[in-house]
Amino acid sequence: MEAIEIWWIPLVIFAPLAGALLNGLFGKRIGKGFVRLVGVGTPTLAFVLSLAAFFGLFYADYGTSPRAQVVAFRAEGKPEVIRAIKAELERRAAGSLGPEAAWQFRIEDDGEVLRIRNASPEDTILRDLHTRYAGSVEFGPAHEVASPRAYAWNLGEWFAVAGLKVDFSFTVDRLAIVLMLIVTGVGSLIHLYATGYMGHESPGTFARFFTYLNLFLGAMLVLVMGSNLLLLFIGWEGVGLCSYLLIGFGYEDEDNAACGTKAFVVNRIGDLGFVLGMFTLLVAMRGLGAEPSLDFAALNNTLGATPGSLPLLGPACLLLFLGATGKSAQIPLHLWLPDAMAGPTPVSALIHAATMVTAGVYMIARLGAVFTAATVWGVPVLGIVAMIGVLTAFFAGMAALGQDDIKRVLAYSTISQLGYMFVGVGSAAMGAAVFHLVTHAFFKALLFLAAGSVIHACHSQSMREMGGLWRKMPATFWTMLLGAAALAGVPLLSGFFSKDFILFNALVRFNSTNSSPLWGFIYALGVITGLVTAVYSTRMICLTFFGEYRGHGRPHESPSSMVGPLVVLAILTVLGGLLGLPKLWTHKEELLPGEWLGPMWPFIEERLAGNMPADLHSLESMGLAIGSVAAVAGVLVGVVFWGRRHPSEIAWESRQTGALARARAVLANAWYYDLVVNKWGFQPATKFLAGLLWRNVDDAAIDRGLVDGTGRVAVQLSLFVRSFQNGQVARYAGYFVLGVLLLTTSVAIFSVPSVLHTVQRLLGS
Amino acid sequence: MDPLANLPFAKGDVALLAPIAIPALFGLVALLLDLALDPRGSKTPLALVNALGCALAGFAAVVLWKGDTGTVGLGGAMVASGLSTGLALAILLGTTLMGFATAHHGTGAGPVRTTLAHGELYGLMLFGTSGMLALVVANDLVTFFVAIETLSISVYALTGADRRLARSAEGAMKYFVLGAFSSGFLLYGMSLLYGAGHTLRLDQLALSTLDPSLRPMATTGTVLLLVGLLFKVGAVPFHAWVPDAYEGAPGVVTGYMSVGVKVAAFGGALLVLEAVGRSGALSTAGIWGLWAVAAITIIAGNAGALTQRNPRRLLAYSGIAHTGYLLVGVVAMLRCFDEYHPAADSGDLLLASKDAVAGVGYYLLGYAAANAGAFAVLCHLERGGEEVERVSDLAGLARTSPGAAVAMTVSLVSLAGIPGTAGFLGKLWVFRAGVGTGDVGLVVLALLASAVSLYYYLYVVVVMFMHEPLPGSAAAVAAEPRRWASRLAMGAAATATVVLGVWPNITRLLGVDLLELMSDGAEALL
Repeated sequence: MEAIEIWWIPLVIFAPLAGALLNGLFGKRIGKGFVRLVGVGTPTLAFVLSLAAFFGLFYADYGTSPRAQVVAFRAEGKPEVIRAIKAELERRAAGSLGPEAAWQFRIEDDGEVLRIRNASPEDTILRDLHTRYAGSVEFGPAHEVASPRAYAWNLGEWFAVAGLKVDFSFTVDRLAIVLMLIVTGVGSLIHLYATGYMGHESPGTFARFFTYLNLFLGAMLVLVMGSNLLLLFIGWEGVGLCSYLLIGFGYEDEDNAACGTKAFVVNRIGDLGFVLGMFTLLVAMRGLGAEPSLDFAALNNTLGATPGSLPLLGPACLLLFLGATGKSAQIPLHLWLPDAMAGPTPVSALIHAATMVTAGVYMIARLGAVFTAATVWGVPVLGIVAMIGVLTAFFAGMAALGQDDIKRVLAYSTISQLGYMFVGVGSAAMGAAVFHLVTHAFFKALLFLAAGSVIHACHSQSMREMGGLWRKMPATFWTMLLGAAALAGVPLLSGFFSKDFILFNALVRFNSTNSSPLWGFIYALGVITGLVTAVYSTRMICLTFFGEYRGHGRPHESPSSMVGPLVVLAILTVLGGLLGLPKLWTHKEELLPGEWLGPMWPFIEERLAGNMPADLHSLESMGLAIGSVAAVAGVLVGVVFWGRRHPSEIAWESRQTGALARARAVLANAWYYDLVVNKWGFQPATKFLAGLLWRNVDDAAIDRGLVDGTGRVAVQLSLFVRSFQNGQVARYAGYFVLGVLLLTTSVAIFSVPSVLHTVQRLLGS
Repeated sequence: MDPLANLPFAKGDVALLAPIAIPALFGLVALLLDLALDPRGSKTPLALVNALGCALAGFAAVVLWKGDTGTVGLGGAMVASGLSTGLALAILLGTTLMGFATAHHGTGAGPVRTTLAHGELYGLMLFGTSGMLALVVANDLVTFFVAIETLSISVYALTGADRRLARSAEGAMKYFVLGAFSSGFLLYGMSLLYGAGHTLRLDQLALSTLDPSLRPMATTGTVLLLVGLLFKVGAVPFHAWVPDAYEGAPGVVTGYMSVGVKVAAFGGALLVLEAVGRSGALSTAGIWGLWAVAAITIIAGNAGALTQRNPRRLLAYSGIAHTGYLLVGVVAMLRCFDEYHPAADSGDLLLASKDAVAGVGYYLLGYAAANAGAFAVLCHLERGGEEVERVSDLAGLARTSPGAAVAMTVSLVSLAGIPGTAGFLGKLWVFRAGVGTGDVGLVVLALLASAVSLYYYLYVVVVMFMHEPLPGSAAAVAAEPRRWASRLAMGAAATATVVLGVWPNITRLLGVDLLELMSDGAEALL
């Protein structure tokens, strides 16, 4: 990859951070107008800079005028011909004031290919040369750019310890720029929306909220733009911290506090996996004899270069994936997201859905070469990723069917859609996953904003207290309908194309030679989930907007400050699909995200080459057909079952007893996963320890905010440790002597060689 | 006759003592200067004297103690390397900052309940600092013991500095009795070690070949010596004094000892352990013993902190937990002497052990900055001798004094090991070394525990930022504008924590490359 150094790249990160600093220091004193200006202005500045970087990169690769393309001469085994052509062209270009002056030459592939940027195959000189060397060279437009450009800037060394050098360097390549545009673009819209939503708060609270939001954005940008795993981890922890602050914002009720705590604990488990994975990668690198480094380029080039040969690589990637399941709410660490999204303001829920939770997908895409090379006992790690993804997608999608709270529906839907993205990266279709990430950011943002508008109008989150709103809130209705249709995968909307692209890739893996039949299962379950998605989306729309209004008061349309962003996002939701039309329907393939991003993972095509099914086009048509049928069938099921009826007339919504009610209870409780984890995991352990340690929790005055179900074990342990502290010196001296005896005897016992060997085997590596 | 003619060392070596002597001299100055000051007024002149002494000592250490291969001087009584310079800077940073933090102690509008005498306070702090600096360069067991006792006696006295406060006296008494008890073990261990190795000098002990029949004696001696050191750093089960002493002592003293004593004791421990490790006196069994102590310390320290609601007790248990993390590094350092290690004698293992030494050094530096910061904030909020006794007293601090809240947050976040702070770099360095030497289990435990620790550190942050101030609490009372010295201390500590985490190379501008100092020191030691 060719990196161009651009000094203003870090400004994209500094803008929101500076905003956070300004609002944090002066916001309260100066007032809301200032906070609003800074809070919205700095993310917008970051967005503008990202746009500039995007266009810069685009033109760096594809030239600045319509005629500007990359054309290539190829002459296998005849570098002398290529050199002659180049000399001739250089001579012409040097003397010309015409379009030839813009030509840029580059000899690649061991001197066998000459690429000329900013040229056109129609240029007469080029055609002349082609005829002159006819027979020995091939000539034509080079659609792909062999090595896409990237922007980079290094702020300097962070530290260099023990052979490991880590820089504060940022890279903006095609993958990063896509994420940057989403984070800053959708982020700015959310900030704008928040100025309205939080408008009634006191200036201090208002300033604090925007400080956190801006910090969150800054951290997310560090995550996306950092050029090494450690910078990504800074962002990773940064968004985690800000999210903790945002989820618990206001702390009005204990539930919010508990949700924040739960999100926190679950994410710690994930982070543990991340850190251990990082260490293991370093050890694996040392094993290869390579210079230890955490730069993505180095990781991908060394560790990713030798598929399946490094024993440590599989465990390392699995550990990193554990980190991803924590951040991106996948099985088994998905349990924090619904609570975290249902509790606090829609603003923070939204910013999570659009940005933070996709970090896991992004991390795997970043380490694409490493992940594709990793296997555990012969099973490719990416296969595991795809399997977890599709299972999460299915179980969370089903759970969404049983929810009454509109934000919980969207929360489970987010988990489910993230599952699709993991199927995408798992199918080694990183570009497809990123494409879905983009469209999902559009339509999920739209759905959250619309849901916020509905909640604002009805003063309730329960869909049982809504209904019939489509006449009362037409703008919200139509935009939300579009969002839900995109989510459902209704053909021609953005969600349809991106989801289908992912499933198509799973299908390709299934049809590849030497592939596991499990890919068939993944594809089938993915399609079924698509059907389920369509059903719950339709259910949500029907319960919210059709039938009689069942709530209190007189709902009315939201103010224009809230409707405005809805319209913008609705347009993006509809048009977003154009970014990734199926190959069937387009000739400008190289501009599609899946293809445009393709050169980010050049090895994938190599690794899959030879295994690819012969007829991709008919496979794609089949995939599109199946996907459309599933989506339309799901919508039909939804309309037939829910339609305009009152919930009390619908068996699924109203039945109190019988199998249907039981099934619904299972889904409403999200398969009882939470309950089971608490009941069979934490509680017995707590009881056991409580019995063992004889102390009653109530003995100590412990703030309730700290102690929830998951913390009880630790509290027992804590009280146990504290119970030694009774204040008597004689007793302390007793512990001391006991400690000395224990230490000396254990050292004496360890000195027995056989014991020592056992210890070494049990605890050493 | 020249009285210096018969010295057992080169005359020039006397200069090597300068970094140790300067704080002691300034301690005397502080004692005398206090007589001239208004007993109820601010003590900023003393804080400045303290800072000047520390700065000069730091400068002297940087200039005189830089030895790439470890300078043995004073007839073998001391050995200085980059590591000792680095640790000396950490100790001096702690003393300087706590000196500023306490300058306005007991002043203010309300009633004054403290009986703290500042002259003695600064004097003892500087005397203790002398002992600490001597400990990190000790190369013989006598120097070692004298240094430990110098710092210990100063700290015992400091713990009881608030004479009329029963709690303070009680804490001092307990600390003293147990400390004397541990000194007994320390001495007994030293004598056994001398009996086995026939030398008091650590560098000679390291290279001596122990008589196999004397090895059990050497190992016993080493273990007893270790007990004395483990007591000082607050490792479980020798930690019982820590919470009581931390709570009983005046906040500033707690801050001082939590930084200085820990850094110095770990510095001394590295020197001693290198010697006993290389000579084989600390057998593989001893390393596993230390492994177990590290594991228990990590668990117990974090568990104890989880339910603490007194900030000083919370930081006491947090300090115990950090001792545990540091012991991970110590175990990793000792692995290169582990004859049963599967990768024994390999270059990779030695490299990882060196990393561990350098990592422990950097960890201590970051720990010093963060802990000093946290205690500086607590000192800043003290009014008329009334300390912050509950975390809930900090509620709403972000609104009443945002600067203090941010400084506290930076410190706690660093202690928790979040990236972007010194604490993260230290943990990264130490734990990576642990993975490198194959102590993966211990590192996993340490990582799990640090994940848990975020819980109690961030709890304080949440209270400061999200809760309403309680009426009458420290946070609810408006900050006194006169307390500029403690503001300086908080600001400097927070800045140091961030700089050491984000841009450690900036210290090159001051002529000291901290990262390189640590690596050089590790190179010199192993």
